[in-house]
Amino acid sequence: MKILININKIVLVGLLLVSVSFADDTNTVKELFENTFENTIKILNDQTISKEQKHSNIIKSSEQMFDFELMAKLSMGKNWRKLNETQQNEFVKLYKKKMQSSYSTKIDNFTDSNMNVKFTKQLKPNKVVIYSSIVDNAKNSFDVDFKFYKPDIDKKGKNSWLVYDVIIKGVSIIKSDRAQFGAILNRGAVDNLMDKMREQ
Amino acid sequence: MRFNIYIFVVVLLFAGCSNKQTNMNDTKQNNNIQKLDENKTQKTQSKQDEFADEFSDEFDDDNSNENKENNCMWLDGYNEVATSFNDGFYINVLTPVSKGYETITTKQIRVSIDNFFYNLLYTKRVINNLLQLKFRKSLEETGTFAINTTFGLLGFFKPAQTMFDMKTHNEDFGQTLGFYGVGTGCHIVVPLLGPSNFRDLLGDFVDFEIDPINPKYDIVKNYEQYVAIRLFKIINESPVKMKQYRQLKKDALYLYPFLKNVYEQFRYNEVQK
Repeated sequence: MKILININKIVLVGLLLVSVSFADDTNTVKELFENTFENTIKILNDQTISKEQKHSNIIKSSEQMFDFELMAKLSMGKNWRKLNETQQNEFVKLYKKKMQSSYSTKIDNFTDSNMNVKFTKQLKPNKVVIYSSIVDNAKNSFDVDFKFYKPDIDKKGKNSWLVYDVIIKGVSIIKSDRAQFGAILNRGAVDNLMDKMREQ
Repeated sequence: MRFNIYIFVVVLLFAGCSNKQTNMNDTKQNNNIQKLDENKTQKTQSKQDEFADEFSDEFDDDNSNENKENNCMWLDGYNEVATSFNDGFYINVLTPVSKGYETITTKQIRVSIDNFFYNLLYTKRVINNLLQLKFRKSLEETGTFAINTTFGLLGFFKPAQTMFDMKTHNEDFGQTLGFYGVGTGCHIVVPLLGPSNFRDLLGDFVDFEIDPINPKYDIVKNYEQYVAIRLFKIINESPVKMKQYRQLKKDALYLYPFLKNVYEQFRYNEVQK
């Protein structure tokens, strides 16, 4: 009987430890996220600098939050293995450029808006999702979710938790890119896709 | 009567498609078996790939909910043409029109007109909320409608949202069908109106039946007037919509599959809410 109680205790303490460490993770990610966005909004509402300057400042400050390499890989899916090493490197470069220009266009819409974290969820020990909504002056709001993961090894110049997908109004940017990249590769060669990305 | 025939045709298409899906499921199963074999041979791959596999369950194209049933290849040719037609129309016609309209109106006027039209569709929203057993949301929707129609001067303003912090819950019949497990059917691009699918198209026809500006309710006298009002509504929201479209298009390398995926993901999420 005593042994049973002891086992119960051990299990309980174990569960408690697991849940505590989970809660810590979501808080860490939430803090990271909120700091970055506070900074972004500050830059956006700064009247003293030009639009281009704003964009490059915002990219600089939020870059450390994203894992572009992984996002590029995920948006290619199974096709990633069809690329040789030089192609892979170039694709990552082009993808990063695409994301940065897309991010700066989107972020312009957030002037005079607030970003609220609605809730957070730990999917796996190394995955956390931030569910947030952006509300403008007229109380129009839409949802944006950020999926974070914790890499095994710390990446140079990056945060300890990194974004690998952004879901805007229920639309995952990885999934939509995967659909169009896949469709392009179904019709033509890898060069075809690269050319289209260079043109952009 | 005309619309009953439309619905009948759409339902027929629907049924045809669901038969096709079962066939497709068979081939899909074969594909899955093949994939399992592939997976086995891939086990020896480098650590980096194992790492990517950790994410693959989230982004598995073949099993993703949004993609399950809307891959009707026989419509792809038509959809491509319709997508480029719509793109031409949005960029070369509606965008210049929206810019002209912007110069003769203020933002406040456009937003108010938009609010008025939104408020008008209360019956559609509340009925679809009720059909999905979302009673608390139906109640809030009714409160929002009552406040905006009275204090908001026929819905031109929305004090319910801005002053009382109330929310509106936009539900349509396409979402109601989705709520009860009806699949999307084939993805289809509607000329001028944009991406849709068989389920949502059927939903639009049903929602039209309870639209107060449907000519059968005598608020609007005939179809000419109805079309004129719809056109005005489209022009009024075009400055916002066209800006959104141009921004979305910036992310597109291949427009048709991109817009198709964005639409289906968006609607899947709406149904899940």
